[in-house]
Amino acid sequence: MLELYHWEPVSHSARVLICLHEIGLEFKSHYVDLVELQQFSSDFLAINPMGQVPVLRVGDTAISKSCLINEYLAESHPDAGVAPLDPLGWYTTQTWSKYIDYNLSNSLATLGCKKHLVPMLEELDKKLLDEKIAAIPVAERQPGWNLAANDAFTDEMIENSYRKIGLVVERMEKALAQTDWLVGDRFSIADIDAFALMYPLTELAADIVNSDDAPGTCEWLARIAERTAVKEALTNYGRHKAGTAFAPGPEHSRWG
Amino acid sequence: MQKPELYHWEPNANSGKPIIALLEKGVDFESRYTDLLNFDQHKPEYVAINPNGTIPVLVHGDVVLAESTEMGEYIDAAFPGPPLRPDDPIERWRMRWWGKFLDGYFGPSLSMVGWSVFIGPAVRDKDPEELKRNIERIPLKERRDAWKMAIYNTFTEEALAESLRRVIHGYGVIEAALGERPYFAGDRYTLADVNAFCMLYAAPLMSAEHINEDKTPNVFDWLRRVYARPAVAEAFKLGRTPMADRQTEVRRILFGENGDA
Repeated sequence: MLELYHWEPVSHSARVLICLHEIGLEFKSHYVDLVELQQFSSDFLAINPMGQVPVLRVGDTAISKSCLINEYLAESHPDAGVAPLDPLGWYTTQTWSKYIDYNLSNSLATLGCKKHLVPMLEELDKKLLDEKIAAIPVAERQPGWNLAANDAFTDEMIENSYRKIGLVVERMEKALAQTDWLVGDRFSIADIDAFALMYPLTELAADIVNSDDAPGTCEWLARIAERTAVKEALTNYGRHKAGTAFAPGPEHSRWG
Repeated sequence: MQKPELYHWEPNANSGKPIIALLEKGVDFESRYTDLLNFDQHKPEYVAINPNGTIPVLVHGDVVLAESTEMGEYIDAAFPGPPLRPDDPIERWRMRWWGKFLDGYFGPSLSMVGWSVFIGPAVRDKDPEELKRNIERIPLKERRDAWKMAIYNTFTEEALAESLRRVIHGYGVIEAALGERPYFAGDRYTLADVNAFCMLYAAPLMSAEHINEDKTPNVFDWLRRVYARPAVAEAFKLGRTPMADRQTEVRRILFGENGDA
């Protein structure tokens, strides 16, 4: 049976949870508590040396990178109808995921951590937390956790996050003015991959993602949210309310 | 339908990927050399084709593609010729994983180091006013910031050191992977090898301290396999700067004095 290592049903973990439910695949769920830094335990690093969730175990192989897991699942289950239909559809799907990851995964993490992770970490013993962060073996992951542990997000980071969210929403509005779905005329992994990172923005970036300024995006979010598979994925796997728990994501681009 | 057109710079990094993929497939395409060092990619006529002002761009009928890694999959799927993607779904996943690793982790760091030693010095002597105008019309903020760093040499020691750390870590990951299988995705040459080659082909010369026969024998064997491909030799012919000439020297390092594979 498939086994999924995931955290809360938001962002990258939500992508794969939704996709598995849309296709209707059974899987064993392993909750990896990112706030406890379980992703950097030696047990988990043996599964994914990058210390990132989600990871899908397929037989002997552990596959990572959420959008690639979904491409794998969609391609392996063509009857489920969530794969793009032609070469251009694939290109468009892959470049949407890339665009969302590049602009949104870090921005969402910055805003989400500022609002939700900082208060969670404040509950913990600071000295112990600092020690745990200093012991993170994946060097480039330490700065993000230090930012959250010390609530050290700068105005520039916050502004840059809103700027990038604005760019994504502008592009989504253009795309969704033509069709109901991001790629082609049917729901696909492109919508899943974008939705998983977009849905918390109605609260975290309400000045941008609201029905007056971004009507296409908001209607699209609502269309996806009412799907049974999406509801199941967002309600059955987390320990917090969906969209209210965040972990430091990838850094904002160092070199564009 | 008209021949596909490829707007590209030197046959390395991002431009090299679709050049090699098209040549491997045997696609007859129109090469449109776009001079990065002359800021051709930010000129209005180019931005009319690709609003982001990045190279390369593939124009195939009505289709305009500007992301080089994903372009590779399109080229493989849309044109006849030998397959450049594995059929096995796990190997295909692995091919794509390397795409993410190279583009998201290894590539940006390698690029920062490369731009600090090659691109920056190559354009710094131009007229300052002209450089300023060129910077102002770069469409993407991240690209604008990168060009400013290169032109005004504002790389910090810390950023360069971190990039170098990631490049060296990346070399280690790559060497280990090529010890497990002959090509990045599995037993066959795929787009992952094309992409990796475009970033690594000059490493025996530029990073001799880290990439050499003793320390990275697997990378060396893999480089020999890829350098021996006719499409790769063809690709280098599209280069116009001394960058592409480096391959002649690398061939000598890999294959001995006459450099023949």
